[in-house]
Amino acid sequence: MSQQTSLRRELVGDIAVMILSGEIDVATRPEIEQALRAQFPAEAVGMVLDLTDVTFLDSSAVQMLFELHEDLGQSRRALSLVLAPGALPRRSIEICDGSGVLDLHATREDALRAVGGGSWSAV
Amino acid sequence: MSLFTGEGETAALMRTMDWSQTPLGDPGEWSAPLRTMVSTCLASRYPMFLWWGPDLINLYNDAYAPLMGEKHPDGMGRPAWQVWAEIWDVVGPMAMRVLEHGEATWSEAQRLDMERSGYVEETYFDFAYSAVRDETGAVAGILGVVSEITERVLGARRLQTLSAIAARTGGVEGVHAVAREAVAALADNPHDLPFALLYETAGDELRLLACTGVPGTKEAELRQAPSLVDVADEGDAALERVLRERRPATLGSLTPSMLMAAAEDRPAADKALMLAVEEPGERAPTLALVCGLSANRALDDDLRRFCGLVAAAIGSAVAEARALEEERARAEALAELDRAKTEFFSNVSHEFRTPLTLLLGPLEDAVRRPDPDPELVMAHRNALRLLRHVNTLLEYSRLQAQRTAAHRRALDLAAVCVDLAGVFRSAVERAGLTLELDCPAHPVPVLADPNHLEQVILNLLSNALKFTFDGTITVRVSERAGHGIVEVADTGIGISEENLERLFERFHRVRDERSRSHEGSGIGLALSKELVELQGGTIEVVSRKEAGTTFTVSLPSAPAAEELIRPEASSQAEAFVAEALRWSDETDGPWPETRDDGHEYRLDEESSGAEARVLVVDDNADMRDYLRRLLAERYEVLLATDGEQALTLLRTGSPVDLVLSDVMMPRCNGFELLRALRADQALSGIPVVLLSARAGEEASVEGLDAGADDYVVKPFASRELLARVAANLELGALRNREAQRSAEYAERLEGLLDREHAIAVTLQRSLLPGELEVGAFTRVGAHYEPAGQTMQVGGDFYDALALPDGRVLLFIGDVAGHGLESAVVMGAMRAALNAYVLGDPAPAALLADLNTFALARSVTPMVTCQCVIIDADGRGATYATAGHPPGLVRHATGTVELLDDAPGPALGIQPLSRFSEAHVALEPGSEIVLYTDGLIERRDEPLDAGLHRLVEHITARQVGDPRTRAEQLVNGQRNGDFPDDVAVLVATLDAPGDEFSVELPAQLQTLHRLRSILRRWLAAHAVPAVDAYDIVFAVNEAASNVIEHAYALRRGSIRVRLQADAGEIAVAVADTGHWRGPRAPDGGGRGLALMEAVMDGVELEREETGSTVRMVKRRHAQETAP
Repeated sequence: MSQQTSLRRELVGDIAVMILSGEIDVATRPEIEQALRAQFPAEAVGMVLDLTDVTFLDSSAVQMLFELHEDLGQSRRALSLVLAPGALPRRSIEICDGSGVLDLHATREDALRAVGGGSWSAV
Repeated sequence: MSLFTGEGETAALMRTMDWSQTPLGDPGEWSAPLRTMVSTCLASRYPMFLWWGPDLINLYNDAYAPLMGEKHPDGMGRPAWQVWAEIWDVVGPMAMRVLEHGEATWSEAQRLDMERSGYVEETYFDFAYSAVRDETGAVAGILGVVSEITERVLGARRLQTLSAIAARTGGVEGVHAVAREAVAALADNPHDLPFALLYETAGDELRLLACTGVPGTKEAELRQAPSLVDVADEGDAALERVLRERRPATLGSLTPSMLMAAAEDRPAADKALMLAVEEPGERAPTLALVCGLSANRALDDDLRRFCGLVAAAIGSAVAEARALEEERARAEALAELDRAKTEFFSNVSHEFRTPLTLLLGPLEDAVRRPDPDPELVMAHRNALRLLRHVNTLLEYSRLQAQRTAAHRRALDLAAVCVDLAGVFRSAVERAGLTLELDCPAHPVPVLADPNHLEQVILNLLSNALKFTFDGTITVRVSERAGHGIVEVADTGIGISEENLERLFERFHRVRDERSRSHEGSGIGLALSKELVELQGGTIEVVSRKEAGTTFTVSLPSAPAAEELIRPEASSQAEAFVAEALRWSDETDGPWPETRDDGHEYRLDEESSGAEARVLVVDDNADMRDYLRRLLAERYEVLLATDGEQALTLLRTGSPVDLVLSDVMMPRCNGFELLRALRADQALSGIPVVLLSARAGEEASVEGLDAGADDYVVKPFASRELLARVAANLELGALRNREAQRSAEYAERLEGLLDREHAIAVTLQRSLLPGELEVGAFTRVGAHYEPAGQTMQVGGDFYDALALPDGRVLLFIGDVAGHGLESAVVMGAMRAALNAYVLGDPAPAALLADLNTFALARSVTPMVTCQCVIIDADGRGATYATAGHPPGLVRHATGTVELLDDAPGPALGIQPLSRFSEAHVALEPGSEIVLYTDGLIERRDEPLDAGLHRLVEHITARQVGDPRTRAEQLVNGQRNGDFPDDVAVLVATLDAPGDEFSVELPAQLQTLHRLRSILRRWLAAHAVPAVDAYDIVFAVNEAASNVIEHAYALRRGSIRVRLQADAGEIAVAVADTGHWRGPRAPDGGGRGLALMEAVMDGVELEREETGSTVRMVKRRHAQETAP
């Protein structure tokens, strides 16, 4: 992965927790997206994407989140994002009208609870 | 004419010129600013030019003249747009902006296709333009500071191609595949090699193996071509001559089809270099390489050397692949032979049985008659013996082919032993020995196949008899923890330790031991072991030389409820006894064909010298035994019961070629073992195959993530496990060879360095950063000089990085020692530094990380360094030091401050070193100077004196261009040759300025850099974090759109201009190229909408020459900068 970003994966039961850090833009998105999809185990019931250490999202990065949300939703699996309420990258999601679509949580525990609780059914 | 002073060539030229013929007129009437600039320019050692007046009349200094090439001296005093007509489309607009707006611009690693040497030459420059104003304050001219970095750019590019060849071909199988990969690596560097052709010599013919960049012909068609592609008129003959004489030759006249080669993204080739590719160890060249060379580069020594290194790299890659291919073929042939032998024994045994049976029938009848013919008796006896050997062989082949099943019954082990000992007693006593029986009175119930058990015990008894010359043979039966135990002990000659290890190998026969008989197939004990294990039991042996041997067979107990059977001794018992009796019957000479001269049959004899050692780690004894049995045929097998024992064995015992380990184990499990191995430099190269019952993709991913080479899931097919073990052993061997190859390659590079001083410097430079990244209002320059006499690659390094949050990191380091090793460590440290700055780096934590990194290397280098991170707003910096001489800050007031408040130990000395941090205030005009100790070190002088001199020097001189400044500092400290390498890094902080503009190459990869620069400028203007984020977001969108849509097909640059006043921040994002395609920079409307969402005003302006997005963000009264 490029020097701007990194991806780490943890498994919590059936849920894959993907921890991203750095900046995601149109240059780094393809690599990150590919890594996210490759690292997501086929048998996982959902994904928690922890963006706590992400410092910047451009519109294509938000677009990637939309697409990930949609694709997972199609196989009836949930995606929850971790991003503290005051975190600046939340701005990007707001600007791109994503707050209503994407499932945002302040902590990883909240996000895990949301995915485990089958919040996909609300999609 | 006092204006053009100095002894330089350009000053002399200016003195002789008739200026009245130029628009500048008589120098006596030149304006004061022009006169000042000209003398500044002439006095500078740095390449500089001045374009003056509306016609941009070109004036330049000595240092600049070489960059002009053939344009010098005619270009002096002529309009710049005439001199630089061929690159005016790039530099013209930049100049115009300086003239029209009065703003400075700079450009890094700008490619310019210049005509200064009689052809269009690919060149690279860093340059900065600034406006020069006349007395009225209007912009009257442009001062340009330029440095050519063509050599550095090309050097880095070529080095990358060479390492790409090694990287792509490593581990590739097959000569042809390697050739294709190598040529594919060349395809990534079309600017040096627009096309390349690789031929193989096949008899008298040349056959094309791979090619790149050849137009109009499909690769498949080329492969059919029997001879040289029509590259040049004289091509065929010339290439053959190159192969014969083994000297490179140039093809000067390429056919029109090759000249036309230039696709959109690759330059045309106008010449080609043909080289013989030599494989190490081959007498004649086996391959020929034709390198098409760019029309935009001259065929100079550097390019020749590069082509030579490419050919050498291909040669060694191909040689490696060839050796591998041969080795593999040999291994396959051996495996095939092994299979064939087993098959052969099985077939032969079958074929023997029928005629033997037919033979035995009549013989049996004959010997039962009264007074049989002694010759017939002997024939009968030996036919029986032969049958027994054949049966043994057949039994064993069956076991090998897994066609034998044990029909296990509940037996009384004590009774069986009593019976068989009874049968054997006569033979033992006849040999003058005592047979002792030690059996419990009660039954010892075991589960076993009666035939198999009988065979095992008879084998052990006859073995004991064979090797015992006086004393006792004891048969002891007992019961222990769910097992029935039978021990057969003798007081014989014993078995040496060396032989003991291989006792159960098939066809292994104890050599040169005294025994009653030399006959035997060498298979009895191996078969016994197989049979015991088939019952679920174990067999062990303990022996002391000249004291005796004890075999212990342990069989699982039968359930108590089972009814015990007592089998009768079979005919095979009689055969055993009959044979044993013969051993002590001296009159009955040995059967002729059983003399085997001590010859030892081993199926894998040929490979025994290179036999691999495999360590099996499993807590389960059965599994361990199973694996041992499985692997022992091909490999030497060592056993350990858990990770801890395995580690002890690996660290203290003889080398192991592969570790096969279970995952779930007590004490130290497979993953822990793996981690320990990978962390141990001496053991990290051993291939590790993990074995686990945890099924599923995920577990194997976890295993492979942890660094395992392979992962086998239980239950597994034995064939598959063997295949994986074999494959990984091969990989491990390959890895070793690969490492060796890299070392050889490095050695070759080093040899090159020793020979050629110029290359040494080039390499060091190419390892040092090509461009120093800086943020807004911060300029960084560096200067490096190798040590004077011993011109070697040194270990000095530096870097300047724009951090994503707008801060700027400065780093200088010094790896102890010289030579390639230091250079390699230096490269690794720099790479590590770049990796560690991700996130939110702090100097002390960074040094701690680098310390850990240094200690993890095999040869721990000592590294001193200092790290300074300048705050985003430029008002201060935090720093940490690791045994490095302190850097300096020259404040705007002229006072100099030492960065010595945060001392710490050098890196690579001890783990867990702690580093402290200190903060220093900065202001516009501050200058930070970092250096390596070579700068202040002089022989016979304390370091303090040098430092003192440096402080004086810095105090006295005015702040200027940082790169010039770095060079000046080095020159100022010079006193003859430097005893050590010297590196100096200078950073200058400018006033953030209410106006700022930056121009960057229009590439997606530079977006993060643009954001960093923006954040830095915004921080300096105290823009609140949320507003700053919005502005960065909007600018990033605009820039992304420009890059993605406007420059999809061509090179260009993007310019961002920022302006701050009390009320608002204004941003303009412009491209300087022409639009291609229908897309606009607003990203089809969506992009513009996003910008509008965060900014207070957005306008799009489209013109013939490019487009500009202008945006403003209002500053709220309470948020304006203090």
